[in-house]
Amino acid sequence: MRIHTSKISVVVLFSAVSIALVMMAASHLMLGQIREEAVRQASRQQESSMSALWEQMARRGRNFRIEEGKLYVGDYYVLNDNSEIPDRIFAITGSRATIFMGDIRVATNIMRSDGTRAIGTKMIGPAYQAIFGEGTSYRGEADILGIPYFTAYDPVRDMHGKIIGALFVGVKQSEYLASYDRINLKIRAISVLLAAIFVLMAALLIQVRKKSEIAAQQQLAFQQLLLDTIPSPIFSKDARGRYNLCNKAFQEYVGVPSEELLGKTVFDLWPRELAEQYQRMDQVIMESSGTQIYESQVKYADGTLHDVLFHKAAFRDEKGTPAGLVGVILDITERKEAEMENSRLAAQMHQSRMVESLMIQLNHDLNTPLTPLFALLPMIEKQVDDPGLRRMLEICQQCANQIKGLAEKSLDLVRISSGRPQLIPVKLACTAEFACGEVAASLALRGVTCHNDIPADLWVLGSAEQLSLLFRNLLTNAARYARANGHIVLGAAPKDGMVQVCVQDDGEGLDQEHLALVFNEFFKADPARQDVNTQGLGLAICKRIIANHDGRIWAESPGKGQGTTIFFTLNPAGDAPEEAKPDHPGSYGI
Amino acid sequence: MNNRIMIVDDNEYVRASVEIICSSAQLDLATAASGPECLKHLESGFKGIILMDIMMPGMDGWDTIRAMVDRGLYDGNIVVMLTGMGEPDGKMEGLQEYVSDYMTKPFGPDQLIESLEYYLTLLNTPVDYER
Repeated sequence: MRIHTSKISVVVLFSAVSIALVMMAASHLMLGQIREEAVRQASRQQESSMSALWEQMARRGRNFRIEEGKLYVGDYYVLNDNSEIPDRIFAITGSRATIFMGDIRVATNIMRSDGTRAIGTKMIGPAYQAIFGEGTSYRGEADILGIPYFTAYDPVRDMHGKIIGALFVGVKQSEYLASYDRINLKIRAISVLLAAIFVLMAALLIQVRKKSEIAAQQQLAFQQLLLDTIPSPIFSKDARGRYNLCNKAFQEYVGVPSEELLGKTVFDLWPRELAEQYQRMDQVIMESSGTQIYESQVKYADGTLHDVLFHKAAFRDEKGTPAGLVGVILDITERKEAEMENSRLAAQMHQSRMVESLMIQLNHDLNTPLTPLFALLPMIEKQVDDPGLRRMLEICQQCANQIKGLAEKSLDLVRISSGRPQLIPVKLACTAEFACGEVAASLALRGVTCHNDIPADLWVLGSAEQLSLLFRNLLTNAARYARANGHIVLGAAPKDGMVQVCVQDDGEGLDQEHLALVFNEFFKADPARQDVNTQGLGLAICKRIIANHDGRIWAESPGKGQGTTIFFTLNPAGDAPEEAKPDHPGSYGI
Repeated sequence: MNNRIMIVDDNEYVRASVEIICSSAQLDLATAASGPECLKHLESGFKGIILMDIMMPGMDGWDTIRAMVDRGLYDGNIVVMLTGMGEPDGKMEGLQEYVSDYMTKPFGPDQLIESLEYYLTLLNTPVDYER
C-alpha cells in the first residue's frame, strides 16, 4: 500500500515538473517569435526611415558630390556637420540618421557616450563590407560605437555612379526592444511563477496524500487492533467469497495465519461438503438485506466443537449490488452449557420439591390411619388379660411405632435435603441442652446420664432447628447403644479454625469396617438384631445436616465394648455481632 | 359442668377412636367430618373444646377457625389443633392467637384424656370463658 503511494507521488511530481518545463519552453518559443516579429518590424521601420531620409535628400537636390572635402547634395547644400536632416528624420521616424562621406560620419545624431555627436568616426563591420565592398545596401543588425542597432545602410553615389558616401538610419536595439523586454520579463516571470506554483501544488498534493495515507494506515491499524482484541471470530469476504479481512480469533478458529487466509475461499479451508453448505448460506445472505443470525456448530482448528451464533450481513456498493459480506461468530458453548446446567438444576429442584411435598403428604396420610391405632391399641390392652393376646397387642403397638418413626425420619431427611438452611450464630451448648431435654424419656428408659460439657460461650454458625435435630438423633442413638446406666458426654472445642464437637457413649462400640458405613441410609450395625424402634436413618440425617453446615462428621471407636464417639465440625461464629446472637435458646423444637 | 368436646376430622376412624376414648372417660363428644359441619354445630349452640384437624379437603382447619371468628362463633370455645409432624403451617399466620394448643398425631388415649381434662378444667373455672 505504501509502495503504491510513493510510486504515485513520484509520477505526480514528475508530471508536474514536466508540465512546468513545457510551459516555460512554450513561453520561451512564443517570446522568441514575438522578438522575431519585433525585429522584422524594426527592419521595416528602418526601410521606411531610409525612404524618408532619401526624400529629405531629394528635396535638397538630386546629385551628390564631394567638393573641397565636403559632401554636397544638390547645388549648394552642404551635408558636413549639418545635423538638420538627421534630426528631422529622428523627429519624424524615431530613427537616428547618419550621413557618411566616404566611410566617415560627417553628420549624425548618434551620440558618443560623452554626449557629443559621433562625427568623424568610421563605418566598420558587415555594413562597410556591403557598401564599399559589394556596392549594395545593408539591412540588419550592426554594432555602432559598440552598441547594437537595427540598421539600414544605402550607398550614396555621385553622378558617375561612384560610391562617395552612405546614408544610415537605425534605432538602438535596446531602445526599440525595451517594451518587448519588459513584456518578456513579465511573461517569463509569470510563467516561472506559474510553474513554481504548479510544482508546489503537486508537492502539496503529495504531502496531503501522504498524510491522509498515514492517517488511513493508522486507522486501519487501529481497526485491526480493535478487531484482534474482540474475542469473537470476525471476518469479511468479497463478492466472490474470498476472505479479505479477519481478526486473531478467526485465525485461531480456522488455524491458519491471516497472510495464508486472505484471498482464500471456503473451498480452500474446509472439506468440500461443508464448504458448499457455507457457500449456500452466504449466497442467501448476499441476496437478503439486514443481519442474518443463525445458530450452528463448528469445529475449531484445535478439534473442539463449539456451539456458535453466526451474525452475517451483506454490504452493497453504491449501485446496490452485493459487494461482499461481514460476519461475526459468537461462541455460545459456555452459555449453552450453563443453560443446560440451569435447566438440569431446575429439574432437580423441581424433583426435590416434588419429593418433599410427596413426603409431607405421605407423612400426613400415614399419621391419619396411625391415629386410631395409637388411640385404640392401649384401650384394647387395658381390657385384655390374656398374656397371649397382650403379647400380640404389644407387637402391633411396636409395629405402629416403627411406622410412625419411619414416617418422621423420612420427612426429616427430605426436609433437610431439599435446600440449604440460613446459617446464623447459634449458642451450641443451649441447643445441645434443649435436645437433651427432648430425649430425656429415651435416656431414662435405660438409666443413661447425659453430661453437657460444651462451653456455654461457644457460638457456631448454623440452623438452630437442624442442629437441634442433629443432637436429638445423636443422643437418641447414644442412649440406645450406651451401657445400661452408662454415660453420654457432649464436648466441643475450637480446632483448626472450626469447632469440633463430640458425642461420646460408653456402649458396645463399632467394628472398624462399620465406622464409615454407619452414616449410610438404612444401615444397621447388626442386621440380625430386630430393633423395631430404629429406622437406620438417624446418622444419615446427621450427615446431611453437617453437609448443610459445610462441616465434616465421622465416627471413632477404640473397639468392641469400648464405646463410640461421633465427631463433627461446625463453622465458628466468633466475630458475629452480639445483637445477632439470640439471648435465649428459644423455640429450638421442630 | 360443661363436658362438651367436638372432634373435627375428615377421617371416620379418627373420629370413631376419639369417640371411644371420650365415652370411656364419660365426656360428651360431638363429631364433625368437615369445617362446615363444625360450624353447623357451633351455630346450634355448641360450646366447648374443639379438636381440629388441619389438613382436610376443601375447608381446612385454618379456614374453619377463620369462619368461626368471622361469624362470631369463636368465643366460649377452646381450639386444639391436631397436626402431623412437619405439616405446612403457612396459613396459620394471624390465627395462632385463636389456638390454645397443638396435639401431634398420632396420640395415645392417655395423652388425649390428660389434655382434654386440663382444658375442661380451664373452660369451667375461670369467668373469662363463661357467658
